[in-house]
Amino acid sequence: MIQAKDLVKRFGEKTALQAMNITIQQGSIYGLVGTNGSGKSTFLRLVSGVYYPDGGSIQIEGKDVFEQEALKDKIFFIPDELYFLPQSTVEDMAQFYAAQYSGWDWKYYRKLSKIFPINTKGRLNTFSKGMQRQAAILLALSARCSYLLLDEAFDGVDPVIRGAVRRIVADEAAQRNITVVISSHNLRELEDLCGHIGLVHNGVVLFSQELDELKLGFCKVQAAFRPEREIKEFIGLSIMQYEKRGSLFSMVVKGNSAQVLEYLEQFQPVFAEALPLTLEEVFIHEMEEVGYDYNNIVF
Amino acid sequence: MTTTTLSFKQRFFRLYISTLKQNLGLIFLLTAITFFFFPIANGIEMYHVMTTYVDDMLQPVLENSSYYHMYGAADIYGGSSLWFFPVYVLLAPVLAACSLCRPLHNRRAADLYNSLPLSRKGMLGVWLAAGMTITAIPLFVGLVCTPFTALFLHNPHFHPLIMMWDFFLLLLALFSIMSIVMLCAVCTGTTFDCVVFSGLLFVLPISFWGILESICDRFSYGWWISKDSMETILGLLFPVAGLTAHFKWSEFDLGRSGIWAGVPYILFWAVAACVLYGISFCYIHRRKSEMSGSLNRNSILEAFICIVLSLTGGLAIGFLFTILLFLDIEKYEWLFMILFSAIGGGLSFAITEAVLSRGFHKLKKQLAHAGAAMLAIAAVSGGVIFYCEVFVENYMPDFSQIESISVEEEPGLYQLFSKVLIAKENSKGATPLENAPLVLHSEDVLRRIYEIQKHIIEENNQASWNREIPDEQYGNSTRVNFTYHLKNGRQIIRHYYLSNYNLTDEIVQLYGQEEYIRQVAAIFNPEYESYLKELTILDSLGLREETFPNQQQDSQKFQRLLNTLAREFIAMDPNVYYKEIETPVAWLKYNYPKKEQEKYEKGEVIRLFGIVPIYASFTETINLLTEYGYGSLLELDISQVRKAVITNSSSYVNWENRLGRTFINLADNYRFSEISTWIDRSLLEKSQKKDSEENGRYEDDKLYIEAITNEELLELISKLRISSNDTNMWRNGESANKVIICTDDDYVVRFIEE
Repeated sequence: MIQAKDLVKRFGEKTALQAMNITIQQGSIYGLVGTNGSGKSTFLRLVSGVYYPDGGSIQIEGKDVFEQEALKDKIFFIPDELYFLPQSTVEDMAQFYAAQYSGWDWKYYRKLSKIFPINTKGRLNTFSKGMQRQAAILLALSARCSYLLLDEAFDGVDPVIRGAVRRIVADEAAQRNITVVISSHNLRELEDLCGHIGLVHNGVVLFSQELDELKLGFCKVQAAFRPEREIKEFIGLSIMQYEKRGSLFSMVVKGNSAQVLEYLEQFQPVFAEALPLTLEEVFIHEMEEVGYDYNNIVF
Repeated sequence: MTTTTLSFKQRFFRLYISTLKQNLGLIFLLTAITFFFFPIANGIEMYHVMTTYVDDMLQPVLENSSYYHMYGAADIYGGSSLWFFPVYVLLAPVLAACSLCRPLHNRRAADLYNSLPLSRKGMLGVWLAAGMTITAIPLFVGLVCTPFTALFLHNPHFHPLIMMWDFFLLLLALFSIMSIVMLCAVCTGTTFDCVVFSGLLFVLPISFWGILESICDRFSYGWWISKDSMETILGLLFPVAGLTAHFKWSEFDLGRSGIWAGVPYILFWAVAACVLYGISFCYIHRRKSEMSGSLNRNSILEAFICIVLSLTGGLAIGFLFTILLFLDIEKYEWLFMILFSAIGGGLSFAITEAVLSRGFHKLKKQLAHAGAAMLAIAAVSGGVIFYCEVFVENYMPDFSQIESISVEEEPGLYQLFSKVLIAKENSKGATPLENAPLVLHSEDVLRRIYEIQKHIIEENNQASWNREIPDEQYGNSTRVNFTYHLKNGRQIIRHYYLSNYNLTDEIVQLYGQEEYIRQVAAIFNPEYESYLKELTILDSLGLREETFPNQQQDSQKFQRLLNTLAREFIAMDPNVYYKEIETPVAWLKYNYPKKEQEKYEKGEVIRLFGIVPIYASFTETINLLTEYGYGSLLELDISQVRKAVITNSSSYVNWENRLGRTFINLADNYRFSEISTWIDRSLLEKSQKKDSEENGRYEDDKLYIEAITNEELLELISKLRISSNDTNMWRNGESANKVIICTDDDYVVRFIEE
């Protein structure tokens, strides 16, 4: 289990994480979403022991991570900007990691090498961005760590390999009970892979929930009323956004669709339907709630 | 699947091997450079030495290995080694550390390395071990190959064991330099800063000391630091100074004692390196990874560098501007020094800030700091000048606290009257030949020296701050060092240039003191009496000589002669011999033992030599010499003079010693045939010049040489002097008239008094 308590990280005068609290259960695939500069990468670097926290604590299995060799032996971190040893090949990097990670599995590495369409003897600096990502994922999976931290891991990877990786990661999580933390701006992808989602903004976690629960917690409602109704009449709903065109209301409401429809029944709608939100829609609406509205950005 | 957890040692070793593999290119590069500059260049030098000395004859080399003049205690290093090793030791760790410590200076590399299951301390340990290996392998290869080169070139003189010892010292030096670079690497966020900080740490302390020393020297007439102290300071402030001292030790210093040369400094830096590593290991444990790749503007190291750089730069700029621009405003020189230092300090601070911030954008915020820096530097500059004025220039110890005073005078009669060389074990473990110190104890002499220094201070205070020696006195001024040995064990050293003739006269009067003259002339010093085994009596020009051995049956006569001469010598006016008012009728020379290496190993007095003049006024001495059968030498016989010429040429004149340079021992250095040939050739060329004035063969139209007859020579005798009173001679040796007198097997050069 990964647990952050009042985690603080500052870079000079800027505070990247301010009293962040989050708990990531063992065996879960956790998606970390957030705006640019919200602190996702910083959090992952703190989890992987790259950064030292300026306040609070970050613990794995109840122990602080920083400078804990035994604990770090169980963690593999793929950063957003990859680094490979100068002039190295995938094989070289594999040997490098094999020398450091106790769980390194050469058989698994060979097996995965056949899945990923990359030349393991080719120099990594000649690889495209997507191929370098594939190499990094291949190495990360071969280390057989209990905690896999992927920062923008699928950035640049083609859809086919992305699908394959998603499956491999899901299988690993299921079979070996590993914990995977993925930060990405591709919410569609996280939606397919993650069981849990955490939304980070300005260095704090706005919410951390199971994905299903999250999606069930919001719905998009369209309803028409005759005679026409005013929005203020729906005081029993937690309306996050609405639009009214004549008698037709389009609303984003917190709560599951059945409950919302049941509530609207009392207003005798001519027509009413509720649809679950995609993760992206949830993200956008949540961000709007905290003032991160594209209407404020686009002018 | 069961996995075994890797231990720290396993990870450490595996990362070490991996790091070495990554740096194979650097190892090859350094090895190639070392191989070229050490075994190959060394071999070329040995070959050159061999061919220079014996042309195409190899056999004499094989028979006599002393043809080789290589350096170092191992007797195998050539001139290239002297500069290669220090440069290598200084630069190779910087290259290695920059390559190894990439994770400290690259944000992406930091992500990789800091997420590995190895602690930061462990990683620094790996880099240290790898850095030492990378830099040591090339040296090892070089040192292994060099004996083969030596054997191939038939140099049997090298010492493999001492080479191993040298290799160990090189490793220690690498270890020391690496500590500085590693500290800089840990404390900085970019490779540029690491290199710049390392370079500054190498040179800043010694530069700071150098500029302080220059200011003290400028603003204090009496400021002096001995060569030994200078070497010690250099060794302690500059990390490769010890190594340079170790490798430059030449074979001419006998007894193989050179193996300890420079070692104390190397050990000092090795200990300092341990402290620096301790700091690095402590710091890296909590070093923020986010420093990697970014400018770190908060480290203590940076603050230290910034302060020392501003201080050094400020003082240097202030000093340079003061001496270059305001030579004519001596009275207020100190004021300009402070003013320029402050301005220079502000400039240095601004430049340092701009470089460290990679731009001028932060300079505005730092204006207050720049102002503080200017004030601080002005204060330091003023403080140094105040120290020079109060604690050096005008400070004299309480006379009652003086135990003894050592005096060094140059040029003085010391080197002519006696030279006592002692094999002495010094702090560096070497045993060089040193002059016996001139230490005075009697109250009268101490009081005189004390008064002389008082007069010097008064004179200097009147002369304002300017210590420039007037052109007409340059080369003729006396340099004098007084070292006060106080009863509390302290030493106070003062060094003066006596450009004032009155002060020089006071020094001359010291020769009238018995204790002084007995110290100056070893022949009169009872301490060395037992070493005097024979005396040589020479005629006025040193053309003829006879030996007076101190044999048992003659020991009383021998002692009587010495005592009489001492008494008459001490009683006479020192100006006569100091200023060469008269020509001596004879000379008394002593030289024991003649073979320098005798008794060297025991550290005893090994050489005692000198010469004292005998004047016509020494009636008792002359009577004794006549009585002992050496009367013929008191009359000059020039019948054996084969050739005598008057010339203004400076050729064949030894410039090292004002009095000794024209002395008869020149023949020890130059074969007779050479001088004779030179005279003949010069005469020939002169006549050719006369024949063809316009052919441009002779550019120096001031040179002349003219042969004289023996009769003309006799007329000149009373005007012949050992030293020249031509004040410009130091710069233009050809302006002094001199006579070169050749016999069949020797020659003498004497100046002609104007």
